[in-house]
Amino acid sequence: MSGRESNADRGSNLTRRSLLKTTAAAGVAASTAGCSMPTLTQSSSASSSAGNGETTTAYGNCWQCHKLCGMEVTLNGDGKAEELHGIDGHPRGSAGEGTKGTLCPKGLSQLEKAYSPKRIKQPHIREDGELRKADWDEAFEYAAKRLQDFDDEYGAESFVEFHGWGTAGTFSTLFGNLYGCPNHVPHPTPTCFGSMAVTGTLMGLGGGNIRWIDYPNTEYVLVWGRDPLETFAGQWEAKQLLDARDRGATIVTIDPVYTETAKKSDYWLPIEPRTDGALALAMANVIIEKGLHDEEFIGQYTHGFEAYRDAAAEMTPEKAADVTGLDAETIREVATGFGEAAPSAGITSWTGLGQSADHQKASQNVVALTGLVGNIDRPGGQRWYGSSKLANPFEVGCEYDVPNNAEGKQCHLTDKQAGYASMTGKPVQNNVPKMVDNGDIRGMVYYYRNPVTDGAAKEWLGTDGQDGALDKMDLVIGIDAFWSETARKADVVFPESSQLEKPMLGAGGFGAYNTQAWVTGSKAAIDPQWNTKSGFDIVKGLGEAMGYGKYFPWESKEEYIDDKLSALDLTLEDLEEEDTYVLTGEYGYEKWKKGDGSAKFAQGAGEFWFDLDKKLDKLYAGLSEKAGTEIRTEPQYLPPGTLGDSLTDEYPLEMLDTRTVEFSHGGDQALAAPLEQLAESYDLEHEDYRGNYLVINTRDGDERGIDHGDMVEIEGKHGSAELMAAVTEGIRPGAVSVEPYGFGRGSIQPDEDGANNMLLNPPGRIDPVSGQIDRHLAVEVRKTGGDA
Amino acid sequence: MGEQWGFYFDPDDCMGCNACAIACKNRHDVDEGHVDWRRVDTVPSGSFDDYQNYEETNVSMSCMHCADPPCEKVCPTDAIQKRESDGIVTVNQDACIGCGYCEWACPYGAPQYGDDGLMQKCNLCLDKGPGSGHGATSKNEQDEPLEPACVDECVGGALDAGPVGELLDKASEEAAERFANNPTSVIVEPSSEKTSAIAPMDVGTKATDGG
Repeated sequence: MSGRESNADRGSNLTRRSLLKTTAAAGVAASTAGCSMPTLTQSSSASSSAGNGETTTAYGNCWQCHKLCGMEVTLNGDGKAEELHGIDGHPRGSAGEGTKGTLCPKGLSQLEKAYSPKRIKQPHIREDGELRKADWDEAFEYAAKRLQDFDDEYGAESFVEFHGWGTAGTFSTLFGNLYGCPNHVPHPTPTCFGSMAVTGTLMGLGGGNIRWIDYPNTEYVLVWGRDPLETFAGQWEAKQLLDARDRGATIVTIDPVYTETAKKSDYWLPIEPRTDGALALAMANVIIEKGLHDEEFIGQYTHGFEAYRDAAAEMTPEKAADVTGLDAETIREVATGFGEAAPSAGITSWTGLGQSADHQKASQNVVALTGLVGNIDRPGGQRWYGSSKLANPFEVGCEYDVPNNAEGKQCHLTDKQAGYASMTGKPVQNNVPKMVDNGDIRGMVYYYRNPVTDGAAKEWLGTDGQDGALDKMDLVIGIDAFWSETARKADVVFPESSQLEKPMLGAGGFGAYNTQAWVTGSKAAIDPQWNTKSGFDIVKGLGEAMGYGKYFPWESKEEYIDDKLSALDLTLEDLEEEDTYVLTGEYGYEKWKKGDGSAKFAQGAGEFWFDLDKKLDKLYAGLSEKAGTEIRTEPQYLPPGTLGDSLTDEYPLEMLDTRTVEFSHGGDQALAAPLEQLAESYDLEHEDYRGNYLVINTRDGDERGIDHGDMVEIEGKHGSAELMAAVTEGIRPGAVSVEPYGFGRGSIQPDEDGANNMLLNPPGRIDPVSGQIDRHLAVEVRKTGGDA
Repeated sequence: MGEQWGFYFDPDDCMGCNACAIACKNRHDVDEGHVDWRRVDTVPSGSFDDYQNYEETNVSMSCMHCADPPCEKVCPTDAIQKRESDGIVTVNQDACIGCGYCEWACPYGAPQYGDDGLMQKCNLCLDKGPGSGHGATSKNEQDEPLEPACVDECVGGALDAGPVGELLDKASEEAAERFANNPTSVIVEPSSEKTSAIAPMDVGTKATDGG
């Protein structure tokens, strides 16, 4: 890579704006008057810019994958958004100070989203069994009355709140604190990467921290079950990974799929799915044998090393090679490289190791490597990002104490005696249909969340004349932007404005600035389209109709945001003057080290736990009984199928699924441009099909007479779904990947093209420890049609 | 002749994310439906059996603004013009009759046809919209030439645009050498992968116009 410029070096690409920004960063409140582009004038709000005949600039923070990449919005003379651009130096949308900011295809598609005619354009309520249009007051009154009647009849404990990626900030205050619903399904567990997240927290690394590498200082990167060049958590991550590679860092991708990141990696290790635990133990074997482990860290700050060392000693690279389908010499090489580079070596992992019952133990083995080489929150290793602290707006702006009306009510999701929680007491979303059948749950509200593409799709939606949970519930309320089967089954549908139409705020945290906290925010760039409102205004309006108006004293979301920003002595206006972001303070490394020489890790203990015996001995005893094999508390390799699905002669292929760069969490599947780009990326844009794809190896395709572009059915024990095949050499034979997940039945894809592969997921197919829905299922694939 | 403008592309920095393609559509108000002024192709090589050598290379492509454009040669109404002033190839939609010869002649698939049946393609962001750029002031003489949208939003920093002389300054020796023997106005870095993604094609002689 020598001789190439890194992103950071490409100073010639910077705009005048970005150079001024760098100067302004020295003094937080420095004025940027006159720094706008020569032909543009600054707009102060959505409404003031409309119709004055001049091209103006507004701002935004992209929420398509919820990472807030900064955007500059070009408005035409009528106030219509015409172009979107990234913001240089932005903590999520650039590689850091003095570097160019961009927008990814999701961010750029916000233009189409704002004006998409497929959006839900006004409130709807159910009358005489049919959804009909209503005005806002009528919809608020109707929903408030239905909620009151529901509470009178069944109690708020029979209601579930599905919190997705809403932007109101007050959603749980209304439904949890005020309405008194104790049942709350959060993110990320049980639908994101629970098997890894719960394990990572229990061990002391922190659930989310297995994703974050201190890229500016790293020398060796293990990309393990994640694809940061496609599913980056903000573009900073992709840019810093490419910069690290340009700087000479070694990149290793461990994934059955030849991912985008694999294309840029020094090694691709196409591992047999769900055998990662063996590879991780074998790496530990090599690292310990060569003395590359961090004896000081292990001695002072860890618990359970002896049991870990013994487990690793048994897993030689040769043994792991047999299990993983990899080459023993390559395993040795990668383990040595990682061990030698540590602590300036990191692991980034996510859903690829977080979505199966068999991943729970595998992820313990992977997380154990961070303790072994002592890379936790050290330069170039796993990064623990610091964050700006915002004020509680209710404490600043609301003169009444917000009560907790849910207190004392039974939470069916997490109360162990209710029998629905996971073994660690986490909510199991897949159990909600059963709660409905048992009469424990009779209603729900969802906001920017669609449980039917997460798991147990048949049980949610119903099939073959059988009603699903959504049909059986007495009351379903949705806050959503596009129609889906879920929205169409709701009793009240509140249409939400898209990101460009509402004020945004966020603070961090992970991002381009590895030693500096930041805050970013923007006003609405354009007015709400059609008859929609921001989530904040929807919650406020509904809250007022429910009689809780005094708890929502803010005239606008901007006022509410300003109360949050008061802790930093900033306003939204200030943030816009600073191109949406301000750096708020520095922090260092080894944040687990306390001043008195002691330590505190993410599980609250003074040591990182290789062995989970202090907390989970009973749990694993129960799990052993369930699995019919001994599952111990220390790192251990469990073969695929020990707890998860087993491949059989009837269902010999392992289905997994991924996200792609055009889509995130299903949020823009109703948009034509990203759908077309997805089709183009498989060279299938000329087919009359805009769904997701089943990526299958040529060998598996040949055995089944499947060609690139054929329609195929994936079938498992519990169900089936149809989608288009993409045949490639870039996936391990025996594995098939649904790319991306979340299409088909129940999705917001208008024609429901593609597969909702969770039609194949039985409700009981979960990771019993974390409650994570298991997306690794045994399937067979057969051709259903030629070119669509 | 004014200095030739062109693109620079480094496949090693291309993440295949298609931000370039969508940014282009946003700028030029081009709807979906197979009209792609810019597109990203993936070129695979090798097989899983030898996975250690399996490679896929991303290639972001648009009009190559060729030195001696075959589309210009075959256009029966002279609607297509290789501009003297900046070397950008433009189309005059008033003269275009939608015959499709240019599409047939172009080895890169650059000419596209909208619902009006007229040819439209990349104009290196001389101006915004299908057919725009014809008759526009030379990029070399514009005070603040519009940065092509694809370059502006390239997440991996794989694309650049400008006078070819400036682009060559940042190019590797191998890329410059390849460019000298290549009839397009696009400088392409060799991929660290083995695939020769854009094979030089014998479609004309390289102009020596200060580039």
